[in-house]
Amino acid sequence: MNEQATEDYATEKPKRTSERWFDATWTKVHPLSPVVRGGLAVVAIPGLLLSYNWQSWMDAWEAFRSGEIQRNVESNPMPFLLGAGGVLLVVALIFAGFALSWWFTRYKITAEHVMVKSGIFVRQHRQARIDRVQAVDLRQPLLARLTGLAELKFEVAEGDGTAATLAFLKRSQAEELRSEIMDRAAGRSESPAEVEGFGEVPGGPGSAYAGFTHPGDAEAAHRYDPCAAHDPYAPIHPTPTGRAAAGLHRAAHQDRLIAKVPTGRLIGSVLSGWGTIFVLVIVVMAVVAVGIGLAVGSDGGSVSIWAVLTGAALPAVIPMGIAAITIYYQQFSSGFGFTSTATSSGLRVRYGLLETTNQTIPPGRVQALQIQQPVLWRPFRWFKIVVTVAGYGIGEKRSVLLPVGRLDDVMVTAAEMFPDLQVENPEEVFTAGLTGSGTKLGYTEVPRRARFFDPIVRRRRGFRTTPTALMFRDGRASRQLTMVPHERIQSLSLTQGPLQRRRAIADIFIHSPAGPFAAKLKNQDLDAVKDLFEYESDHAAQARRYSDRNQWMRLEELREFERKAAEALAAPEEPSTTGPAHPAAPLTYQEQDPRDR
Amino acid sequence: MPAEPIDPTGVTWTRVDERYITVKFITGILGWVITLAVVGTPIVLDTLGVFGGIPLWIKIVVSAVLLTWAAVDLWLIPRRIRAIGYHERQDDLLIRRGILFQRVVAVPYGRLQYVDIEAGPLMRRYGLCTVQLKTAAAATDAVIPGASREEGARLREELSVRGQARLAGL
Repeated sequence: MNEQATEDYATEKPKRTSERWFDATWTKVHPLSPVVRGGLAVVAIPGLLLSYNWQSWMDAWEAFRSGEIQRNVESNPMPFLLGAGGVLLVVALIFAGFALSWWFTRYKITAEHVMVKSGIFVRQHRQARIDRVQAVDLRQPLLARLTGLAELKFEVAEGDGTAATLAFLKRSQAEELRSEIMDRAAGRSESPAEVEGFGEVPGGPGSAYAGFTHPGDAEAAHRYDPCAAHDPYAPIHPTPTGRAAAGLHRAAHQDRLIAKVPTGRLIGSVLSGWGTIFVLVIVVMAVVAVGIGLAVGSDGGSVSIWAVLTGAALPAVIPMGIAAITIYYQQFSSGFGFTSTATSSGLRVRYGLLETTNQTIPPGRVQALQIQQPVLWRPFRWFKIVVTVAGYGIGEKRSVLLPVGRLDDVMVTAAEMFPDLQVENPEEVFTAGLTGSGTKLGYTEVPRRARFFDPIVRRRRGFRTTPTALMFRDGRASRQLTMVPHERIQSLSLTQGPLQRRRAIADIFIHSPAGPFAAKLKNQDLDAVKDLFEYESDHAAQARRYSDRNQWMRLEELREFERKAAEALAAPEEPSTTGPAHPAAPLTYQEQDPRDR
Repeated sequence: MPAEPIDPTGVTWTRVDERYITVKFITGILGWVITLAVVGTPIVLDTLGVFGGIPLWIKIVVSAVLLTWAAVDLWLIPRRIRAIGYHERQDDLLIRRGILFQRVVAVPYGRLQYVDIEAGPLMRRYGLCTVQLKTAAAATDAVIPGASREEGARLREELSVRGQARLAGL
């Protein structure tokens, strides 16, 4: 019973009773929604009924063909009428249920909120603050694709669950709505006057960006550019009627392909991914099991190879094989047709074999980014990118920015979604983080005195700071590079065990909202890591004031960002030049920030 | 307690209330009594001859291990609690804990989403509470157990004010 929620809104329209908890301003979803939402069940339940009693249905069909049923109906119609009436009643009830569920599902978009109400008996009211929207997903399950419908999911920062789901709308309508919500979340649907004022800012933010060097050299011209995002065409049509036109216009103007995954590469990556390692382990275990079985069996002298194989190995191998196929299929289907496009509202990622998903992730919402390389991908020089976005939670599937890509794909994607590193040789620093080892280019490693703790990964396990981000690299056989923008760090901790204390080393953890990976680095030199701790806690506290990027496209935010960037560049001593083991004294933003006065 | 190697330099920790040691002793002893009762029942029954079959050496080893563990655990309580400390800096709050496995966490005030104050019946009896700091990251795990009620209220006020002053979205 959601009477509380109802009453909040009852105040809007005094004449509304608790019976009618929505009015004409609430919009209905598409009439086919309940059927699509029912999904497979709508098809499967009648199918199950039919197949379960297959013999009886066949008998009935035989009886019908031979005319037995017709004769029975003529002699005694009553049971048949009842039966037919019952079937009709069930169909009518199901239909009524669908119709009611459709009638009671309504949504409303106000200036500040997306609100969804649903439920016939137990009523549910969900709302999401638009300026807190972290990302928007447009999902199309198989049935929805067949009917041309789509589901919209608005992810907000609060809590782990999805805040508001609109299921289902026509695809075109859903797309329009998405771009409108993203525009508002970005604060871009401000009045045109303000946007023009923005253009007059001397050397607007584009110039600040242009000053940075960039990992993807060829793509430097295509980088994420807030000026382009502030396309003067876009805000001129903020009205609902002009929305579609504006959307099209933007699409024509700014969308550009970032990365695409060819099916061949995807199949290769799936076959050489973790699933295969899993299979290899199983095979080895099976072989060992058979070997042991033979060795033991040979004592008795009567056990054949086949008896051992069928007796011991097969029952274990079959479920394992099913599991492996499931892993392969999931990876394949969630990477199928993967395309990422840079749009004005963020990176648009599209993937899916039967069920397609269309995610939009604004760059300002990326809390942390990790580039991974499983061991078997190394000969192909493939990488995978996963990100932490608040609201996506720890599930891996939706957090993938690039399921498999070459180094240049990785650089372009990272450049799009991650702040510029702001170092002289970003490409080298980036590559060193991915594949390098040792202390070159300002990276640290596990000190020699602690090689006992990390005999294998010692030279890879290290960190480096840049003016914008903290980079952790790790892993010898399978490699990872984790990058966290300083201003996105929620909190951080140092830990040290008794043995580590004797070797003067410690672990550092960077805390981000729940995501598919954790940023932690073990066994670093104590002094280096203490300096890093001080540097990051200072930086996190101060950079924070610059980046209330709830509405990350707003004029003042961009100005703020520009000034911060300029200061970072002008700062005489940068951690990148002095080496990360001794991060420079915190930059003195504090005195210059008007918000502190 | 002298500064440990991982403590940030120039930080003097505020310790939690001494009464928290008493609370911990009570809960610790209670917990061990229950554990010993559960494990001890078969040993006692066996010794009384209700049922037999447990070798003597198992009985001796199990009771010796458990009793030593309980003694060490209880003996360490005061040191563990004196190892808990916090320190309010200009922009963040530091919290430390641990003797063998030590941890120092820094929570910038601007990251605070809310401050939780919690007190069970025993804690209330001794005028104590547990202050918990929540950020958007679950891993933050910043807890000050056993602050006095006044200190808890002061911390909450202080942290809320500082958090507000520096608060922004995610």
